Amino acid sequence: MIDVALLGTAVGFIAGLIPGIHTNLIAVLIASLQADPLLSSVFLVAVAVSRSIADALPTVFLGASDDVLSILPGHHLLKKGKGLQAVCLSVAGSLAGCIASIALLPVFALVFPFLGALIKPLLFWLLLGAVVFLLCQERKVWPFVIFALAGLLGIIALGSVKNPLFPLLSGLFGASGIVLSIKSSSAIPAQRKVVRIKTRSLWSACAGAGAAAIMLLFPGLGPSQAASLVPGRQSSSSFLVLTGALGTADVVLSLAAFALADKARNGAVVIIQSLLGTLSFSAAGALLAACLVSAGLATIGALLFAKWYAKIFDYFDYGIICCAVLAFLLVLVVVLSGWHGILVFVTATALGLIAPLTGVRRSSAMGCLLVPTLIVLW
Amino acid sequence: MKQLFLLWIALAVSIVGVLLLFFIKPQVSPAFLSMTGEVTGKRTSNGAMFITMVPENFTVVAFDDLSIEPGNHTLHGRLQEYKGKVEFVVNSYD
Repeated sequence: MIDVALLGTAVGFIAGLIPGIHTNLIAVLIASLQADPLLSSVFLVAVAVSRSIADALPTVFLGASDDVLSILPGHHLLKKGKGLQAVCLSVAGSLAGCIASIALLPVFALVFPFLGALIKPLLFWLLLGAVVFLLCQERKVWPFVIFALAGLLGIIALGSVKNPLFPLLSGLFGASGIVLSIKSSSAIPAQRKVVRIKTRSLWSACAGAGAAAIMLLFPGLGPSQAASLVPGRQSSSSFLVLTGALGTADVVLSLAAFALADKARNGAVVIIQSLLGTLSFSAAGALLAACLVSAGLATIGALLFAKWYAKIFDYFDYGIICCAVLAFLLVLVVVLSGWHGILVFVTATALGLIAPLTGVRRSSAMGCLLVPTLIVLW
Repeated sequence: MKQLFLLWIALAVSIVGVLLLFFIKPQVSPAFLSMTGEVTGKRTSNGAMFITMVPENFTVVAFDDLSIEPGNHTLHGRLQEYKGKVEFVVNSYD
């Protein structure tokens, strides 16, 4: 099992370095192999955690990621020459989030089944309330427009395209960020190497683990919306720690939700559920141990690899790298979703550009999943 | 906090994980198998169908709606551990 966890960590790490390779994609491939279910699950958990940690590198250096909210603060620090600092914060948050969520498990085990049963009849209204609260936070009309358009695109894409999530999410949050990066490609300064993290900002990881727990109660609510629900004004540093923590805490707590209530809210955990049926105590322990192995090793890898990743810009033009990544995403869309997927991808990219160009949060575009979820709940 | 300190924490976490993986051994590694015998009855409880089968060595359960009738059948599924007991989870039957 240790070798499988190590292999999963390596595969997830490489997948995290390449924008567009999502855990769900690897999960579907693994499920199709029909290998030993327990080993496949250990592999998938390791992939999910290490990918979530390594994702900090393209998020900061390319501005392309599924991690919607951390793009802006990460890219902001990159332009100040503090890209390595941003990676370090996000990675530290991920590791702290993994540890904090495991520490939170006893509380989660007591509260989750009770709260889940309590809010089940009110789920539609609570989710609608959370969406309205998040959209009203910015006091502008643009979040509502983006939310409605993304919702409409989500409804159309989910019902008509093969693997719809890939062109949809890659366009809204990946390609749109890359297009903007190409536009501002001349302003990437040399990156400073001295990295220090304020211990205080690591407390945001606990908030991240708590937000991930809330996220699991509401289907369709993503990490970006959960981060927005954390009270108080966050600095760039705290915010990067928070979003980093959300990624790993989501995997750990999704596993716990699966073990406790047979509920799978994370793509990888959905596949694990289909492989294992139910999760025994010892199997859950093995999967959590794989999370720890993966979190620790991927953190070390990301910290060491960040310096090399930053050096790419010394040898290659930033605009060319962004164009290459964009072309890679296009090829993946054609392979996974066909030519119809290209239409969704281009529309989603255009829609994803509206938020940064109008100065509102990109998370409004999560309407692409929230509107279909609300319709199902209604 | 310096980056080196973070590296040490990460190393410690990964070592703890490796040790746990070394010591935790799930008692049943779920494996696909087929079992032939006589189905003598079935009952539904909490969304799961419990099948009585001869020879009956462990709980036989189906989470999907199987329209299985009493008689001789070959059940396809996997073994898994649930609350410390081994059970056979049926996916399909002939």
